Amino acid sequence: MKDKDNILDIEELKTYFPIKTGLLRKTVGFLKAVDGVTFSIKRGQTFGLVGESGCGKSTVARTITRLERATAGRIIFNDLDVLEADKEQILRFRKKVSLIFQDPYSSLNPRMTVGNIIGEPVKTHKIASGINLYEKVADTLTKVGLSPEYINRYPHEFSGGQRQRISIARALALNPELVICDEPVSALDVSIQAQILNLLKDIQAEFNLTLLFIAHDLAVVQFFCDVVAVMYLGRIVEQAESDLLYKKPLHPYTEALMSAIPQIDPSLRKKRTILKGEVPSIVNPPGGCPFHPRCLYAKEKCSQIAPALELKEDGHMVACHYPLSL
Amino acid sequence: MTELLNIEGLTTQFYTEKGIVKAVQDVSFSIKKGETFALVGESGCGKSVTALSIMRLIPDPPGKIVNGKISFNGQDLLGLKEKEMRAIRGNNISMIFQEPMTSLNPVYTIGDQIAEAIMLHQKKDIEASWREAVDVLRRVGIADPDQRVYEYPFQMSGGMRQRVMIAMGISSRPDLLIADEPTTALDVTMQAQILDLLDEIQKEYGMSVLIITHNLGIVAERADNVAVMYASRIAEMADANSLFKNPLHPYTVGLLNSIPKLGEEKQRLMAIPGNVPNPLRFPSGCRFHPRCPICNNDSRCMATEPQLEEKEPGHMVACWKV
Repeated sequence: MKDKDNILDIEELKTYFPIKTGLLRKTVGFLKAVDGVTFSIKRGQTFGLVGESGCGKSTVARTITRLERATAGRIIFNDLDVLEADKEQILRFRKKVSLIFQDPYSSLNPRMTVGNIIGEPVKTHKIASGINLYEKVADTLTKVGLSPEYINRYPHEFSGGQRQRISIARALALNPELVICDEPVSALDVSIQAQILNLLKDIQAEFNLTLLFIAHDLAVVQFFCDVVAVMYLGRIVEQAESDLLYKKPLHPYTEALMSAIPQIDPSLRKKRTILKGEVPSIVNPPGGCPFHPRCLYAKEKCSQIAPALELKEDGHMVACHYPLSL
Repeated sequence: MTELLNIEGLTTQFYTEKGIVKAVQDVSFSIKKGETFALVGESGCGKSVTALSIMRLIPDPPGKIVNGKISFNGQDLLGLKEKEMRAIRGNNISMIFQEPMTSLNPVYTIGDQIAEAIMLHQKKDIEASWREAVDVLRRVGIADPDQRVYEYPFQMSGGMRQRVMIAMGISSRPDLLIADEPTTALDVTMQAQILDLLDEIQKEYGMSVLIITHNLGIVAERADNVAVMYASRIAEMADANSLFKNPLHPYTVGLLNSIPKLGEEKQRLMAIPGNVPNPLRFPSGCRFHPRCPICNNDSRCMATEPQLEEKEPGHMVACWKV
């Protein structure tokens, strides 16, 4: 059942990494980084994926772009089955889907000039060459708020915020339909973070882009995204429109995550629910609901049966046997 | 409340090949007994160098404290000999760092590391020190401390390692604990746990805490008094309530507007334009003027550096326009 409005459909996606040990590198188990994730992104939407370190949010992004091999599931981009696609189809797919990474220091080649960094994908995909290529790069630089004079400079000459603008320019150069932003602002200072978030918003409106926005900061995701999915130990535990998620979190983990954010305005502070313990090891996740050892409301059923992600109301989905405020 | 630490006109510089980096310039503030004082600012604003100057841990060369006075419990720290300073460091003033993985020694067990600090500072024998290490680990909420003391840092998670760092920092019951971005490397749920632990221990021991962070939310929730630093200087200083209710310096206002607030529906954030200036070439006059929304090319802002002045009772601001 393919919805025409959807640009990306992910069905039961699983990405497992083998755990090897001993001299013969025998596989003794699997690290289930992504364990059955399903979601769809509508054209023009900003979809947020939020969770703590190690929850599998970056692996989702890497699997979508085939930088990691999926173990099972389906990824449908427009009409293309990404996991079944041949080399040529993937090349065309990569032209329409670009990535922005977290660390603007390690994601730009220090030996390439800004012009080459932005121009290389344009050349590879044969969009422009020669003087047209130069114009394309200069034009893209202007769009992200950098002067075309910078075209022959190297990444080390720029500040963190400026480098992130270069990364955005590289992502935009191919006129993509979907941009996957993996923690695009978490390495930046707050004043610069706001500039980059504003820039992404402007660009999205101008080019009618669809964004998959991955971050650990729920406040940033909630501000920036239309729809937010919360991940915990490789699964989506809750998904809703962003203001609905804020006003009425249904999953105890979302509630705890939200209450843990330090707030400046005392009126915005929620009653703090401090989680006990730490995120369990993903190599050996707890049985039943993966969140139950830390959950304040866990009952017997929670340690035995893993809840499935179910639709509750107004597109609000939650994977919990005893959702809050219902 | 009596004063524990008083800093006056602290100026710390680094002499590099490219020129003199004025990392901290003319910084003055004081911390009372039992209070939490926050130094807040963006990367490179000089907040960590201020802390290292108090500890006298500035690498020399290339760094040097060129001016100022730091008095701790009435004692002038900058006049002390290195040996005398070592008696204070880790004993009366402790410090915990941002990245617990790099500040713990990977080849010693955590018991070795905590016990060593106790042996050195409290002159106890090895058995008493190990017993104390177990006690202090229990105090910071580590389960099974009598077994955990034999573990190495790599066997622990990030939150756990930060608890070990805190254990080491408080083992000597210091008068002042300097916490340099203690939770920046941690997830939010872990951050809340660690900050609550620090609060609890602070109350129990009656110690003062100097917390250094870029997270204004943490400051608003935890600090009594705040100094906002920008480009090596203090831009604004007040008690936390007045600072957040009534921020006066345009930089503080800009920072507060830059943060997305949970539950707020807004199309755009009010960002501060431009970048943090290079410490080798600070702008003339007020260092914030090229990015300032209220400067309007005022000649005074562009030519003369504003001094920190009391604009409202207990509320100090360095700005010509306030």
